[in-house]
Amino acid sequence: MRDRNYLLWVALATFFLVLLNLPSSVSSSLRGFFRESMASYQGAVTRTLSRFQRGPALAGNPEEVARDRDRLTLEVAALRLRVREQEVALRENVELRNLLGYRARLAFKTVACEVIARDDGSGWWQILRLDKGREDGVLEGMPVITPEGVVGRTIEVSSQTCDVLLISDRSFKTSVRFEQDGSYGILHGGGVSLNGVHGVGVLCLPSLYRVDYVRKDLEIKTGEWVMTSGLGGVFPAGLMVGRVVRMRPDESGLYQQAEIAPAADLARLQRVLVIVSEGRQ
Amino acid sequence: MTAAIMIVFLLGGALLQSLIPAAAGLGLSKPPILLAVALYFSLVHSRGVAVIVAILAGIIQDSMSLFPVGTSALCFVVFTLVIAEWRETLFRDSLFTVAILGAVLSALTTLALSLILSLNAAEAIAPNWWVALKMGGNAVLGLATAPLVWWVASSLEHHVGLTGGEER
Repeated sequence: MRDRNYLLWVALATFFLVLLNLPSSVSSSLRGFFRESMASYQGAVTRTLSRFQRGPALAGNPEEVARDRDRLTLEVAALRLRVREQEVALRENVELRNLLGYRARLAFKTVACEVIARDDGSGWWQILRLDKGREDGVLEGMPVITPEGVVGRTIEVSSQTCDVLLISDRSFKTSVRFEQDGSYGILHGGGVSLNGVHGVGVLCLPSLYRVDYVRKDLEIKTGEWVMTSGLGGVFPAGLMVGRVVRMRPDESGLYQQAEIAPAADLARLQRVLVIVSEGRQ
Repeated sequence: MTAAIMIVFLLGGALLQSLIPAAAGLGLSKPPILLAVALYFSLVHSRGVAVIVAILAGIIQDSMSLFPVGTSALCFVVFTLVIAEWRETLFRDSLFTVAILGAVLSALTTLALSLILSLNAAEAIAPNWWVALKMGGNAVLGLATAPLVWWVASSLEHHVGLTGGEER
């Protein structure tokens, strides 16, 4: 009996030694298997909750709905006009670029994804789960954006889902550039605000991001835009990250530190774009 | 039947744990449903079944996060073995005991995982005050979750004719 117990302990220890040292391909497959098993249920619950949350808004006061419709009709007309003006400007821009021999600016090829789960299962990281994976061309380390700005980058990808590490996560780092003078810095996610609003379908409110190693002699104004620098190989240059809220000297006194308000509304994301290549759409 | 119940609890628990939003004021803590499931099996079922549930619950939790596969499973199995060893001396049918165990184990798991993370990472993934807040938050949620999971699980097992207490 004692020998049998001894053998069981050895078997358990061996099992954990193997499990904790699995090759990354095997552990990825294992993670993928469990994620895929739950993805359809997570998607269904998230979509249902989202429908419930939108429901009361749609079934609101009919007069208010009619007023909103009229306002939106006017807005659509104004936006159509603006699009026509911009089309003219774009044509002029292309002609002038051709004259000057510039290459047309590259557009990004993106995959539109729906958010099927928020937070990771343990609450240690700020993660989104999306409904697209390798089958749709999404790979690890791809930038994730909304029209407002950077959301994060893909970290774990299975055949039909992927996880995105949000830019607000404390472990997130990327190189950024200040719009006005083009100086560089390293952006760190700031975690979440302790008193932020949170609930089903809403992520915790992110804290301000921090940009380190900004040259001390530069005068950076509050409200200035910060964008990705293109260094580091993950994010293409020029994606909006946020606006400067305040500047202060860092602890060493050799550099400045900036606090940045996020450009994208990370708390209420429902759909995002994954940049799968920097070629034309 | 035990296997079916086990799968229902693990998958249902994982789904709930992933969908319930983390509480910012509690250090982004989530209700430790999978830990509570492992706790229930360790108090009620045979040691072999409890260890299998602890391993599966841990692997599922690691699959939903960025922890290396097996870290949560290791924590859960250690706790399961300790509880299985001492359960005869615990008032295991008392919801109060379950609540206290849920709180203590949730806090200890958080501490163990943060230590494992700090050993693996080049720099701390979170400041110490955040880890302390998270431990407290997980303890509070464990205190509330463990009795609830216990009640649901024991009611279900009783309903399907599996009185877990007999299987020791």
